[in-house]
Amino acid sequence: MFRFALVAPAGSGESFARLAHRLKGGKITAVATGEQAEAIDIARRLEASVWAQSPEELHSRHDDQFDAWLAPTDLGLIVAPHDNRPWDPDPKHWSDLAPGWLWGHPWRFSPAVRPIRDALDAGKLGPPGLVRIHDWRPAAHRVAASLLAQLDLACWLVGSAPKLLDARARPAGNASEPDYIQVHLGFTGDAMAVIDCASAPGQEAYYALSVIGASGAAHWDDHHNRQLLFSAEGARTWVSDFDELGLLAAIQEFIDSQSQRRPPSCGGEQWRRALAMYDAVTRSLAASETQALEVSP
Amino acid sequence: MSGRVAGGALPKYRFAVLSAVKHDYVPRAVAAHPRCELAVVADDADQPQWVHDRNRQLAEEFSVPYVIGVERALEEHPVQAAVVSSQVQRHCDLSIRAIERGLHVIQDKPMSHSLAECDRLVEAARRRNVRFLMWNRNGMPAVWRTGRLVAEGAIGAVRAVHVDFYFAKDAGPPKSHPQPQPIDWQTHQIAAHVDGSDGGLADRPLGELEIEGVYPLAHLRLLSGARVKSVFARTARHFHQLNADNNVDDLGSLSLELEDGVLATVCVGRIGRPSHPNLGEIKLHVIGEKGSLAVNEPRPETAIYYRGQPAGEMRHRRVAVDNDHLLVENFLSAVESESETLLDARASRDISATVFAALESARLGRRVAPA
Repeated sequence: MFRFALVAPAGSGESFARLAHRLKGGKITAVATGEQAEAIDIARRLEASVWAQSPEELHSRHDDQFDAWLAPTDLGLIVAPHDNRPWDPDPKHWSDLAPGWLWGHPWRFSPAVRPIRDALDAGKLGPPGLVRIHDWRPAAHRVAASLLAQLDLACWLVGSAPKLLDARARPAGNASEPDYIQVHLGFTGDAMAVIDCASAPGQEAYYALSVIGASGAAHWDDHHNRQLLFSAEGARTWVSDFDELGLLAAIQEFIDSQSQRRPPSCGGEQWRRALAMYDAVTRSLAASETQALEVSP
Repeated sequence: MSGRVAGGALPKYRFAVLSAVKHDYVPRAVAAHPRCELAVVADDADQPQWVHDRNRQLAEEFSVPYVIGVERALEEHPVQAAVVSSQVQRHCDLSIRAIERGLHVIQDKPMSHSLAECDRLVEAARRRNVRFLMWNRNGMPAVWRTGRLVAEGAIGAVRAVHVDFYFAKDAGPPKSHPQPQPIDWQTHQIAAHVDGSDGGLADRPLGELEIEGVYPLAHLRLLSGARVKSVFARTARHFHQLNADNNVDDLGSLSLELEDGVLATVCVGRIGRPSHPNLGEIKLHVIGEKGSLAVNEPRPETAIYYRGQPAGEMRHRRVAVDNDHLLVENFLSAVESESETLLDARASRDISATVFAALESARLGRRVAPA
C-alpha cells in the first residue's frame, strides 16, 4: 500500500477526501494544511494517521508515516517520492532530483481528453494534423500556469515536439505579466498546434480542444457541453464538473508506475519539454519573432 | 382617415452575369432577391466550350439571353450591376471591365490569385465610385448577431478573435490512396461543380487558404474592423490526394497581429466528410475587455435522424440561413447610400494580401507582413 502525504492548500482537501477511498494500492496517511481545524477534519475523513499545519512539520516529525508527497499546485498536481526530501512546490525541484515524480496536470488525465488520446492510439483519427486549444480562466488566473500544461498536451496529442514556435501576448492593463497568450507550434512533418490561454472577464472557465486527424476529428468543447438553468434572473449555464476524476486518474497513474517500476506517463521529461517551450514563448514574445526549437520529442 | 404614401415601389436592379462557371449560387442569390433580376449572361469568346455550355444552361434556366462577348452584352443590355463567378484567374478582370462601365459588382471569392489584380480592382472601384461586394458568410445568422453584439459594445473593446473553420467536405480520395495518375486539378474542379465544391476552379491549383480563407478572415474583419499587420502560418497537405498531388494545402493555421493591438488566430481545413456529422465545426471566439463570446456559426440547426439515413446525409440542417438575402440587401443598401459593403474592394484586397503573406510565412517558417 503506497502512503501519501497530502499537502493541501486551504479548501482543497475536500476533493481528496472524496476520492481517496477509490485509490487502488494507495492511501493518504498524512495531511498538511494551514488551518488546524481543516487539517484535523480532512485527516479524520481520510483516516490519515497524522496531520500537520505545514509540510515541513510532516517532513521533520512524521517522515515515517508516508512514502510520497501529493500536492495540488498552480502548475498541476505534483506526486513525488518522499525519499526523505522536504516538500517543494516547484516542479523544477523534482525534475532535478526525482526521476519518478508525476506532473499530474489536469489535461493529461481528464476524462474529456482521455477518449481523444485513445482514439489517436487506436488509429481512428489518423495522424494528427492540428491541435487547437482555447483555455480561458477567470481573471485572477495566471495564464503562464495554464500554458505549460497546454504546451505539454499539444505535444502529447501530436506525439512529438515542435520545431517552430511563434507567440503573441497582450498585457493586462499596467501589469507586466500578460493575461492573454497565443502560441502557434509547427511540428516535424506537417502537424501544427494553436493555443490561446486567457484570463478572460467573468467568473467561469471555458475550455475547447479540437484534434483534427487525417481520417477523423475529435472535439471537447465547453460550449457544446453547457447546460441551462432558467430563472427569474435569466438564463445561466454550467458544465458538469469532473475534475476529481482527473485527479484520481493522475494519482492512480503514479501508484501504477511505482508498482510497475516505470516512470509515470507525465513527469520530469514532459515537464522539461514544456519548460523549454515556455522559455521559447518568452523569447518569442521578447523578440516578436518566431523561434526555432530543438526540443527532445 | 386614409391617405397615400408618397413615392412608389423601390427600384429594381438589373444584373449582368459575367461568367457563371463555378459557384453559381452567387448569381442565383442575386436572382432570388425581390429587387434584383438577371438581365443577361455573358462571357468572352475565347473561353472553352464547357464554359459556354455552363453559362448557356444558366441563361436558359432564367430565360435570359446568353451573349458571347462581355462588352457587347453590356452595350446591348442596360444593367446597373454585374455578378462575376468565373474561374478565379478571371475574377478581377471581368469585375474591372464591368466597373469601367460604371457598374456595381458582386464577385465570387477568392478575389484573385494575384495581388496586382486585386490592386487594379481597388483602384478601378475607387476611380469609378462604384460598390463592390465579395461573397462571404458574414450574413450567417450567428455571425451577423455576433457582429452586432461586438459593435454594440457587449464585450467591450475586442482583444482577441479566433475563428475555426473546418468544413467536412471531401475533395476526391483521401491522401492515403494515391491514384495511378496524379489527379488533374482543373478536371477535378470542373467535375466538382455538381455539389458546389468547385471554388478552386482556376488556371493553377489553389489551397484551401486561398479558396476558403476569405470566410474566416472576413469574420475576423467584421469582428475586429482592423487590418492585419503580420501573420505566422503553417500549412499542410493532410487529407486529400488531390491536394497532395497538386502541392497545395488542405489544412492551415494562422496567428495574426492586427492593428490596434488585436490578436487573432484562424484555423482552416477541408477535413473530409467522415470527420464531422454535418457541414463541419465552424466557431468564433472573441475576447473583449468586458466579456467574451463563443459562437457556433452553423447554429441554429434542426436535427433529423432516421432509420436508413444515408451515411453522407447531414444530420443537422441549418435554419434561418439568410446569408444570400442579407448580402444582396447589404449590397443594394450600399449602392443606394453610397456607403461601403460588408466586404468591399479594399477589405477583400487586404484579405487576399493576408492569405498570400500566410502562404509565404508557411514557406519561410517566420512571421510575414501582408503587402
